[in-house]
Amino acid sequence: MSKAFVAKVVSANRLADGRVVFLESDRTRWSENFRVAGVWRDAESEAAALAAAQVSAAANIVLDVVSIEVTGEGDKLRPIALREYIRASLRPTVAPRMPDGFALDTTLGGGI
Amino acid sequence: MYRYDEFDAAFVADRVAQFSDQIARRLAGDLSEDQFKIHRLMNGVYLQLHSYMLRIAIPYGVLSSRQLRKLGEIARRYDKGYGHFTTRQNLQLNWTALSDVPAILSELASVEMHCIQTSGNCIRNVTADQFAGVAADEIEDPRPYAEILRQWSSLHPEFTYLPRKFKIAISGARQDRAAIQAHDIGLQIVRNDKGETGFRVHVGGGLGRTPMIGPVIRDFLPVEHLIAYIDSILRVYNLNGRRDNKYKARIKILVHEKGIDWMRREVEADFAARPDQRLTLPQADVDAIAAYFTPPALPARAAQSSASDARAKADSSFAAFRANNVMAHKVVGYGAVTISLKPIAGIPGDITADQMEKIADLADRYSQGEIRVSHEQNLILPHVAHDDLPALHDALAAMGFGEGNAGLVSDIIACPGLDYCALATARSIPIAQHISRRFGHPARAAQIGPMKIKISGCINACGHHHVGHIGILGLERRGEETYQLTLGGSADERSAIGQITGPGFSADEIVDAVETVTDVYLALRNSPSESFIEAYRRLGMAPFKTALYERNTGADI
Repeated sequence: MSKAFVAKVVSANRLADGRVVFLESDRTRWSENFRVAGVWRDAESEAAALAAAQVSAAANIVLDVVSIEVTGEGDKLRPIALREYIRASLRPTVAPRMPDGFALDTTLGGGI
Repeated sequence: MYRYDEFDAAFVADRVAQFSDQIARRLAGDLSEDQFKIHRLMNGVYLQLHSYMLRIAIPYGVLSSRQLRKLGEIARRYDKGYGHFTTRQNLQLNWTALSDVPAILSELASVEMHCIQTSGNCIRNVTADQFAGVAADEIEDPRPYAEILRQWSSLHPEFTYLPRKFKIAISGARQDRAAIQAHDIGLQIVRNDKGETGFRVHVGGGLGRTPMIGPVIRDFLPVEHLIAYIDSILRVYNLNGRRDNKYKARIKILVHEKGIDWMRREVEADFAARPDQRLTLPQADVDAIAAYFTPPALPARAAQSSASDARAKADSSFAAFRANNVMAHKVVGYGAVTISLKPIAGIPGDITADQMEKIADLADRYSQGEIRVSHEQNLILPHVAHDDLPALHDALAAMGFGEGNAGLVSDIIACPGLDYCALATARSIPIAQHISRRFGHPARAAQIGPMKIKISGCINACGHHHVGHIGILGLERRGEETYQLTLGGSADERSAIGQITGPGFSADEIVDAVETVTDVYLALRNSPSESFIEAYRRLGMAPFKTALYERNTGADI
């Protein structure tokens, strides 16, 4: 019996500023918002998303394209790996001692 | 401190122009990432978890107030208003846009700074004792030699593409505060029987996945041969170091596999085969560089400060600051003050733009405009009159850096870990924060005494965990963060690699495990004057291991 497919989201870093972005469901646009990422629930759609992402990489829009495993549905969707959870939250998990205007959540995953 | 001459300024300006052009070509699509990556790494630009990270070189940890002010300005204008001082005495900005790097490099060049060779397989920023030129136990100031090494190694055509990165550290004091034996080359300034200055040379130290303490390759290297001999070490490494496996490419592996005797023979043979003296250092040139580091003319002061003494009697916070954060200065009546970037529950090494600017102002007011960066991720004001200590402490406390915990349990080294770093396997900073909070009370920290806790978020060991009295290595196991504990490491003149206690601990357990270790120490020490590391050397691992695993809660890693 084949292993069950784990849903994926395709992520990368934007070339010009390095920020974490996610491929949206139209397989064209990239967003910093994990909530609008396209979720690929079978191998074919994941492959098509990765191919589209590589077109963006070749066009020098993004770099370091990766497919990340996710779990949950809708608002509960989240990356499985802590590393990707931290990337998707767009911030470190640690309580900051930062200047005004850069208030970080102190809880893991405050951004997603 | 050293000031750029016309050659230096043109050299850095050329490099800024060159790399700015490479960035423009990358952004325009004329360079692929594969083509560009080697250039960006040679110029300190990494792609980390959240963004690009820019690593700014602070040569041998020496900064002027003007430079620190500029770093604050850059952090505010181009980043998120803060930076992170590292174990390599560098400053990292975590949120740099690639498109802003040319502007940042131009700003840095305006204050004689750059990011050259802060990454890549080249000779990295030379590090040194943060108290260089100041410490009362100093044999000779190492900064002129560090500067000579910096000039020699910058864009060195033969050594720009080494098998792997190469780190040099230098200490001029009897007490090693630069962790020289954990470096590819460690230089200890010594005097021979004739009273001549030279270097004891260690080679093949390093941390990472294969930690090694660097053995001695030369007991006494005359100053005039410093560059020639290091040139020979680099050549032997460059020709013989492994390039087939990046994990076995550091010089420590070559020295370990071939042996120090083989290494010595090869280096001495290369050194002897090049008698043309092209690399012999003329004393006049050494003197010319040393002149940049002439100590400031500090006005004479009394050895004791009644103002400081009175304040210490009345204020325990100040008393702790004075006892722990003020180092003896060569000049009577002065001290070198460590500004602990380890506020209780803070992020080790992090500093805001505002704090950088305020410390620059304090350096101007109290320390001849000089600041140092330590590999322990703290800042130092090297020339503070004892009379000024109360006012300085007040100013530091007002900005959140008044903690008198230098060298104590909450003065923790921690790498950025999984909160920032693309290589990390677990978070480091939250563990440091929890430990700091647990042991944050000054009375408790004082009871435990000198203690070096060092935390790395992956096996690459940027947090120097192998040489922590207590070392913590964050790993990932079955999707969970797991922390391996080591004891007995040290990075001083008695350098040693810590021993793993046994199975690792979860994030929830690791702080308790550290507390168990300190409890065993407090129970078994001979007296309060026996430090943790001394007690560990006497007692060995056994009592700590028994206490740690008697509950058998460790995860098997």
